[in-house]
Amino acid sequence: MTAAPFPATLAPVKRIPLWRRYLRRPLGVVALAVFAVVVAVAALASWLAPYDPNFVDFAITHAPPGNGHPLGGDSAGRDILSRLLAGAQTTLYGAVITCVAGLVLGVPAGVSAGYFGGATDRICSWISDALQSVPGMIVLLVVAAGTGQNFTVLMVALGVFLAPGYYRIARARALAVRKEPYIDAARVAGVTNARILRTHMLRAVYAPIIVQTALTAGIAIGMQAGLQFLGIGSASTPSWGQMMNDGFQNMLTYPLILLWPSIALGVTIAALAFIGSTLADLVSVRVELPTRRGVARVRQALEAGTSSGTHAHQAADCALRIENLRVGYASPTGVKKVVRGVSLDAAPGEVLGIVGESGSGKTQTLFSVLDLLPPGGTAVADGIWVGGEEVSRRSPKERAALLGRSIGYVPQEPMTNLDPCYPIERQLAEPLRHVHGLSKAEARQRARDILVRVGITDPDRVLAAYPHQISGGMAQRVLIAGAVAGRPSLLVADEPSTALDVTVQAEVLELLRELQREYGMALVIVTHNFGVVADICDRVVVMKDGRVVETGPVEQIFRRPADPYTAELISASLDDAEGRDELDETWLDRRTAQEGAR
Amino acid sequence: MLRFIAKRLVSGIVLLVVVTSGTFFLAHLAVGDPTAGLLGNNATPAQQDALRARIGYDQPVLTQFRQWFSRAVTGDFGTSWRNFQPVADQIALRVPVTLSVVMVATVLSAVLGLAVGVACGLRPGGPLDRVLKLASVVLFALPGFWVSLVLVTWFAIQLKWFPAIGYVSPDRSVGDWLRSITLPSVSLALGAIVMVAEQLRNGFLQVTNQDFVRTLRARGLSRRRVTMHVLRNASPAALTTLALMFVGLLGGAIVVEIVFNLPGIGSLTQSASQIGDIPVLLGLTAVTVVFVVIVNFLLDLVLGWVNPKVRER
Amino acid sequence: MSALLEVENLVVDYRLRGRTRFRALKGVSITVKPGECVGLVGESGSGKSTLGKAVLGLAAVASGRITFDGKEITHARGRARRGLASDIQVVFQDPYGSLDPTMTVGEVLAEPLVVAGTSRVQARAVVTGMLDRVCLPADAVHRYPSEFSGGQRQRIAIARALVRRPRLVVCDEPVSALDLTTQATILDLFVDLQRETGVSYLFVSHDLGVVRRVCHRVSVMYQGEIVETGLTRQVTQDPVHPYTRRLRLASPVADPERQAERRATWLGLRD
Repeated sequence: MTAAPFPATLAPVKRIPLWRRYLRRPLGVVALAVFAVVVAVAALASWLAPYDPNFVDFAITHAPPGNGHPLGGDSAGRDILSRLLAGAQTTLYGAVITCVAGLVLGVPAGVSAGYFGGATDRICSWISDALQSVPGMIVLLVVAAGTGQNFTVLMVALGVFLAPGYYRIARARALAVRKEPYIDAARVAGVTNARILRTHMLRAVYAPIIVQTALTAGIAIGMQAGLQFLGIGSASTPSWGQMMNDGFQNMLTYPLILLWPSIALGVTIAALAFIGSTLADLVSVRVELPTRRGVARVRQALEAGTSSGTHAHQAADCALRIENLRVGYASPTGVKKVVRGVSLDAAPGEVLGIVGESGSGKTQTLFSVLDLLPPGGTAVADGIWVGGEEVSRRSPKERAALLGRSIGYVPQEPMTNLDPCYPIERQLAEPLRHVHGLSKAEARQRARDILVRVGITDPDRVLAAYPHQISGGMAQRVLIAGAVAGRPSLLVADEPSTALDVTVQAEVLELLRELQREYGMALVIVTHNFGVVADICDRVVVMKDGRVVETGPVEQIFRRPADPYTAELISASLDDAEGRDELDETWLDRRTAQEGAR
Repeated sequence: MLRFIAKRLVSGIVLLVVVTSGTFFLAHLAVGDPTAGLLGNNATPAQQDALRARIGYDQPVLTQFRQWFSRAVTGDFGTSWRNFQPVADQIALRVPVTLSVVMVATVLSAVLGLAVGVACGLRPGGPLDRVLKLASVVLFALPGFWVSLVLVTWFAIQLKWFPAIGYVSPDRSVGDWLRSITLPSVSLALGAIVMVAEQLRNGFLQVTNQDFVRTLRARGLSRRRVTMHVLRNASPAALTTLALMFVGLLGGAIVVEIVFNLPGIGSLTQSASQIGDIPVLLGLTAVTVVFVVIVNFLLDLVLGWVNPKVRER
Repeated sequence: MSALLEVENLVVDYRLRGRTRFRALKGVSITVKPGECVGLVGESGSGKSTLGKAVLGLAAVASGRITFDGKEITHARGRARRGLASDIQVVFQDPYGSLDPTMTVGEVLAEPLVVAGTSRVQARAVVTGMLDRVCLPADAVHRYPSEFSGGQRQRIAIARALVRRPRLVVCDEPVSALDLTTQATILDLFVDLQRETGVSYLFVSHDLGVVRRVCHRVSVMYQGEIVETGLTRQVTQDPVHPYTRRLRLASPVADPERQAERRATWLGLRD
């Protein structure tokens, strides 16, 4: 039995429940408190209200606040505060009915449509789309025309129109989750569809549905008030919309009558909206760039750092030279250092491999050379030389000017590295025209020539094609063509063959080798595969946890690895490992020997 | 491409038929006997019977539907049950008002949404982005009529910059026309602007983090050129939102028109619904659905142009 | 020894957008004997994963037969398919997507037992034993998948597959998303578990090296067909079919000199 590389104790990671995390957000807490007050007031309206909301006292018609009527009287001589409190009850009752109707219609339909797909999905989606294209207000007024007195029916109808909101979210989530292998695994494990819907699917949609409910409640209250403002609803049931209408009629003479219900409505809706947005923030992280202070913090944390790795050439002779590179990201728990002091170099015409497992920092090193780290990443180095010149002190703009001219870049994943909205020709010709100043016709001709050079036999078809119309291997050739189009002196490639099939991989490596020799470029290639290293590299840098473990010529690394980690990595590639038949033989021998000994 | 257009057209017509027919039956179910609403409570049974016969309400619902539908197909929506004027004429008179307001609001949402969205997408977490976030939270939920009441009290009554109520036809004075629809359009558009901006901003950031953007930059393209690539990739979600907003604006316009006392379809819808004037309501439904179908069709065309993958479906 | 799984002339079509169909499997036959590991090697689009899916009932079969333990299961659906859950299980490639992120490891592992009607107490005992088998600590039951590394998650996925003591596990590229060093230990775990439990594997992979390590026999697939079948040693070291030879020569070996030779041979074959 092989010993599993597993730590005896796991670092305790606590799962903090959603509501606990919610309570840490001040804005969310305030919004929740405000909403709680509205709910409490609505629940206790009949005890809190100083008067019967429908009691008419002509003496207080249009009365200003005071004399036992804290908010004054309305145009029919009724106490505004009492009506406001009773209106809260109506408002919340309507919102609950609407949300429940929307939930009941939208969520099960959405989850089923996403999970089952096919006809279920087509029919449900058509209905949802149709509902969204119907001017809801008109249909609601039609419903109200006959059932004006029946508030509940009207609110259910409103819920029907808000159901597509729930449907879309539930369906989108279900569709995404449906593709996850854990759903297939559950089916293979004998879990029924009903149970999968009830457990896995519902768990997946739960959080976004809560967010949606907060937003829907806000919208429902707004639309409800709009309907009441138009005169829908019984006159004997006080409502905020109705009060706003009353205030609107007397807006010029008694503006206060309009003020109170408007404030109540605005505050309630805003509270719900902020509850919803706080929840949404917790569920999905809104991307934000780090602040200037954050960057400074990362820089400070990266200040100290000892270098690892060695140089083989003079700085002035190098196509690329990196001295003590550090890369860090700001994270909520501090600064995460992903590269911790890396030094390496590559001469013109040399192929340098950077090899390591995931998380070793090899790709981050490459992106630092390009000055194209993902947002939040900061790189600090004692020096970066490109073509014999120090560039790490240059401005971002000057660094960007190196790209496409001195440095070419070949990415890992061919299909995601072409802009899906433009044909190949545009993507190849655009840099030629705007970076290298070629005319339109020249750029096209040059693009066509390079495509032929990278082994594409029908360049005209490929030039006219969109990325989704060509295969992965073809796309990778196009990307290589784009990288070498500007005749760079340094080509950096990030796992250029990993996403490809083995046979295509060999072709791409061969192409890179040919181009590298033909143009006399330095090629820096990042890979996790020692087979690729053996195939193409002259020298190798082995990385682990953001540091260089060892550097050396390729023969030396394979024949006499200085570091045990390098040896472990090389032996892990299964080329020379025992096959199953040999493994079984040794196992059987050992077992017979053990039994014999007994 | 032709097949794509034909498909969208057919689906639009199906939608139109389904929605208007649905509204027909819903209205008949909901309204019950229209004569009470039309004649008031003091009418004699004889008067009610006469009216019923005149508007064809004594026929079975299905017969009424057949008659209404066969005429509606030719564009004839019958006459109002209240004043017996042709429905089409009444609507035609009012549509320009509503369309002015809604179109201006849509253009405002598109232009300002684009500008704000891109500005925030370029600097996520910056001051403008924070303001957008707060604004989008509140303005998305607040109903247009609430906003319009605030705007009226402030800009029209307190500051007197704009007329509080009324509509001026552009035939008479373009300047006055613009002044008369500014406040209604703005109050309608505010919510839509922040929605479009927020949508574009999020899409923008999502695309910015995609691999091909890094590759474009690694080819040496300028920031401005890369931004154009990002914008094109990010626009479908924002455009879809804009089209959805248009539908919302049509509905919202009904209430806003009442606040500003504009002679659009809003007041017509309100009065027709109060007395149960079904032919007018049906005509209004049909007209709005036609607008929605046209907008969705334009959306599909634009989406197909932006992203070639869509066209092949 | 009679076959545990027999696939005869299997044809599977995928419907693309519109009416066009894509034939993913064009009449494929394989057998898996009890306690045996059979490899399926091929490149993307060769149909190797589709064959695994068809055996699991996750892909609709157009024609042909799948027999498990003498019973035909080609079109088993609903109750009949769920009945097979105790015999046929799966380990997927993606160690991140194959575990429900909202469930604890304990819930993940207990689910197959609970739906089969095992009591909770009993299930807990089985789960603890299974975790030990795959070398994970017992307190992992209270943790969420996100707290584990890729290799550890794949151990959890293996534990889930074996928790009902199935007779066949379909392994769909189970190590290709892992780092090399992790790959080796997970492959050893597969071999150890097979010896302990006598389970059979249908092992889908694109990597000849991986297949050589764990499989007794291997079938090479190309464009929906099996082009070569044989003992692993023979197929991986001295392949007969030109495609298999190309495939072998195209995958680089971690040795500069031998790779230089291999590349030269490959270039010769290409021209």
